[in-house]
Amino acid sequence: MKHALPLAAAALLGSVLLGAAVAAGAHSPGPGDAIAEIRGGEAHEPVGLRAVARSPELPRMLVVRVGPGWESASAARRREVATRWRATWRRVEPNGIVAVVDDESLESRVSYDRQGRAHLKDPPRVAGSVRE
Amino acid sequence: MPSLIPSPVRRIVWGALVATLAAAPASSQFVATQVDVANAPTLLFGGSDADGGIDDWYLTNGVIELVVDDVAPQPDLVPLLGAAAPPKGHEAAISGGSIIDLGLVGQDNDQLNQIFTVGGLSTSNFIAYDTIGASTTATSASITVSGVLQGFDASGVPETDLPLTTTYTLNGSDDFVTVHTVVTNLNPTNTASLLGGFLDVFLWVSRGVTPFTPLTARGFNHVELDLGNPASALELPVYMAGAGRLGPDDGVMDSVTGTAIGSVSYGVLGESAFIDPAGGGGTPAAVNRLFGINGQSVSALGNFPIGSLAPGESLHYTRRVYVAGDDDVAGVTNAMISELGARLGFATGTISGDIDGIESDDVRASVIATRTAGPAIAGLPLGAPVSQRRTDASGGFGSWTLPVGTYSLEVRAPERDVVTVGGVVVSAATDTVASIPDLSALGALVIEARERVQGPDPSLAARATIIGIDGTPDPRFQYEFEALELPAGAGAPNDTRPETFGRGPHIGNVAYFEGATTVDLRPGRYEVVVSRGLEYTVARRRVTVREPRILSDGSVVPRPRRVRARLRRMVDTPDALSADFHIHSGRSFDSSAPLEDRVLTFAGEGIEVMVSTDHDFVTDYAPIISSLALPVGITSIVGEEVTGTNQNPPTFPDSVGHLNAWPLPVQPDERYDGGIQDEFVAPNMIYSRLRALGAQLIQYNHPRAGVSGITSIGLFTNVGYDPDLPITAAPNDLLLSTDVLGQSGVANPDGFRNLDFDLMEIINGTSFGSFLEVRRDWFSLLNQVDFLGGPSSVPFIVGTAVSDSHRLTLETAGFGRSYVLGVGDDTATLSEPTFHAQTGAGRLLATTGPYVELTLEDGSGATAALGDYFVPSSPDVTLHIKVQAANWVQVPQVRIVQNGFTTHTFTTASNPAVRLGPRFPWAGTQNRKIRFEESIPITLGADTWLLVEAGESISVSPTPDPFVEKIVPGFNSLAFTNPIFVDLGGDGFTPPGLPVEVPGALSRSLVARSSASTGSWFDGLTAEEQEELRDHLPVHLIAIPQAAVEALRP
Repeated sequence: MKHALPLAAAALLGSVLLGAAVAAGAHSPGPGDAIAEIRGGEAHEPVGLRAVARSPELPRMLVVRVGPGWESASAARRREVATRWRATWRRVEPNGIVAVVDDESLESRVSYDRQGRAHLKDPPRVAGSVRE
Repeated sequence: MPSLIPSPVRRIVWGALVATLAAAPASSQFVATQVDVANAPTLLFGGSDADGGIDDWYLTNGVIELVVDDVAPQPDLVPLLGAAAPPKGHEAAISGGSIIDLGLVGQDNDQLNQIFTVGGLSTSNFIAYDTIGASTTATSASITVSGVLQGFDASGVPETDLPLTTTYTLNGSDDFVTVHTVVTNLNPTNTASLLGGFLDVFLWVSRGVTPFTPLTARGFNHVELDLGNPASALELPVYMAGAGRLGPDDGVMDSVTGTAIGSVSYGVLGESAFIDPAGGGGTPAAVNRLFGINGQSVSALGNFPIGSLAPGESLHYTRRVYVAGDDDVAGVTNAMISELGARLGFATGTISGDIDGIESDDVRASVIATRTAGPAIAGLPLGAPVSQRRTDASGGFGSWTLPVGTYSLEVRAPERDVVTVGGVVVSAATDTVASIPDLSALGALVIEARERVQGPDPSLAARATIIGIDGTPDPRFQYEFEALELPAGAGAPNDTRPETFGRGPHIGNVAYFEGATTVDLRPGRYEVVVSRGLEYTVARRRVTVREPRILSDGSVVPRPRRVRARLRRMVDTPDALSADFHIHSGRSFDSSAPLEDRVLTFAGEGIEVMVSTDHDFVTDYAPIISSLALPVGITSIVGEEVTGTNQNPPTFPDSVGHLNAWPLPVQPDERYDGGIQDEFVAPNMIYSRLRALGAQLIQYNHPRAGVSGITSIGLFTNVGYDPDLPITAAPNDLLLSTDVLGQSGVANPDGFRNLDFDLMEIINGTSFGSFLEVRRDWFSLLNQVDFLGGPSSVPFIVGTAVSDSHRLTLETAGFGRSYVLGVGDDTATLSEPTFHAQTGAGRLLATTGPYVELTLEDGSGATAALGDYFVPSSPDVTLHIKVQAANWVQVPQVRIVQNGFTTHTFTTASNPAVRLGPRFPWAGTQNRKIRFEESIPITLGADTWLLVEAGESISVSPTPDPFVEKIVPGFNSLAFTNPIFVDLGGDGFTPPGLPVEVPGALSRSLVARSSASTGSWFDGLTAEEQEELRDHLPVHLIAIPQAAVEALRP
């Protein structure tokens, strides 16, 4: 092998290339990163987040399920967090939709205006009730 | 209700072991073995109903070959359920172990659906086989199945006390299968009441074999089976016979091998029956009369009941199932009459002859022989039709064995006058040449169809409907014998219109053709309507067809009448293809339509994508389409109609219904060419099996069908879905279940719920009543769609329209149909993945006639199309609606539906208004094709799904248009788009919830009737519902009253 790189040099080059690839990947966050970011926020500032997942039927929709802790948080805090969730999701899904729903009743808890600002909805009705 | 599943399934290895040890070498004419990967290409044979595959069991004596379906648990459930795994099965039997394929060696002529046996007097006394084995000797080959007999718990005899064995044997060079069944009562104290016989059940469903029995006023005619009065359909014939309706002239029926089908006839003759006392010593008694129900839908015939089965006693019944290669009754009655003659001591002779027409020496005809005089023969009354012979193409017939006596011959050839010749004497061991006068002459009609365009007019695939006028009857092409359902009570007979084939798709008074065709028909006056589906104008002509001129030297000068039709395409369907997601061919158990003719009928109705959906069979039309080389664009996708047939208590007391799936791979050596097992499992398990095979789309069919098929076949009917209740409330919540059987406690390994299908038939055929009923269910589901996922989430299920066409002309191909949008206009460049994705996303218009285009636009100019999820810039949106229709399609209304309620109704009197079509539906003008084109502003107050409908009013039942009825019998103008989901605020779609609209005309009553029903099952049903019920009686509910047996006891 006349032009073979020394093993150590090859390993070094490989690690550099790998690192570059990882770094390049880190600069293109995907939906998983956005979901992880939203989940991670709960650890720092809890608002009753129960689950975050893409809609299996409409992948551009992010379904955020919240529990009783949602109503316990201050309104300002909830508006701020929900606004940030939508912005985070839209970074990876330009036409993304965020559905913040009560984990029990599946009723929507937040609406958004055209600027993406969150507006809170009334507390859910009794779980299992028929929507009319 | 006892479990219908053998408990436990005890497949014993000895069966396979015996087969391995005892199967004769390949060089022997006697073979009895299990089909495996290695021998499948050699052993499996063809035919329109050839279903057998690897793991099934093959038997031959070198003359006959047959397949018995495997006795085993459903293999993918064994790891999940162990011994509780339900059994494999075929159609109506509750386990394997019945004959599913039967024909002559080398003929590829299986046209038999299935023969399964029940005990006593009820078709619900099932046999659950759990063991199968095979053996050969130097002179025979046999398959033996063992299990238990159910249905005698009321006598205190559980199934475990009624072990049963059936043996199928082919001896020597027999042209019949000897079937022997024995059951023993092991109960120490209790007698199995009324267990004195067996019934062999044949499913005909009026579309396959027509049974023939030699009884007065019977032959091909039989009393309608009315489950409220089954005794009226009892018969005591000496034999039963029937012929398949397909033959070599019908073209390729196995598109994998490219082979045609052979002709076939089947017959049943009793042999012996007796009750063997405990300890043995019983003596077989001859069975020279069959007993049981016989009709156009089903036959259940066996030995005359001997009595009841006391403790320790065994009931034996032996019968013969004959097979012949002719396409008539005589094919098997020749042998059965000879056998009866030997048993009963009467002599036989033969008849031969040649049938001509006035203008032709070659007339294919059918002859029925009725014995009018002669020595008395037990069971063959004078005046009864004895047999039927079809001539060859030249009109010749012979080798027709009949008992000695004097006969009347009824000669019937399509479109010619019926001729009856009396006094034909059959003498012992003598051939009598019958002298038959020439039949009336036929005229000829040449029909041509072209598309009216600028430049040369290209030829078209089209349909011609020919109606007799001025006293001329409608033609009845290929009507070679009459088969009536005689009313059980008062009323007129129902003509089942048997279809026979071999000369292309000219059936009844309809001819499908490409370019031009010639039809031979009775001279007279006719109206000819040429049509080509819903996108084209129709042409109407009136003609006189004359018989040929016969010159003095005897030469014949034809005088054909020519009709030239130039049809104009009216409806523009940009970037869309018309598809039919539900079609049947002769590969279905309840259809006889040849594959080539099937393609021509869909091409003639302008369908561009055929999705093959034969009952429990995977059919590939691609080789057929390719071989036909039609100039019009038509393509196909391979699929299957999964056909739930059996009752499946406790969770699904009726079947799980029918569902289509595509695309699927063709696997020629597997059962059903790769179709799946579908009995005794919940829908979610069916989805797992279909998805594993690559199915991208699963469509639930006719969800509100009632007693159709072997049991109720509408999933929503069977579940009891209540559109006024949420999905989480019982009984609707059964759709959320993931249990693989229903109540097994084992969840679907893939996480599928019973609700996880993709499409749902909203329009099936052109039925108005079922459309309204299913529409309501669909709206109920749409009002609960939330896109959230999770165990209680309701997905967006796309609505479709299909034809469910089984026969070439009686259920019109492509009515209804689905237009899939965004797939281009050329079938030659169609991307199947794109087609599937667009279909699954709801980019789909469903219609029987009107073509509806819909877009939604918000204030910023952003637009949404069918199936889209849309976040508008404000609640103010505009619907752009355009409705086109051919001149013969009525569009009385256009409606906007929002969240399950009609919010806007446009009529010819509204503002804006729907435009009327031209005065005459056969007009060729194009200036009335756009019936509605408006932009409708709407302000939404909440998240909303919207769709547009066009066609008949939903407030009153439509009145049929007599002219349109000629083009599409039973036509109703119906169309709807799939919805656009509008999410105000982009915060997720909040479903509107229940209730939904109840259309004023919704009053359909065809739902499953209980077995406790009294009186006629046809009372109170519409004509359409009665026909559906006649075609698909729930045969498991036949119970012959003991009093009726005693009334017939000799």
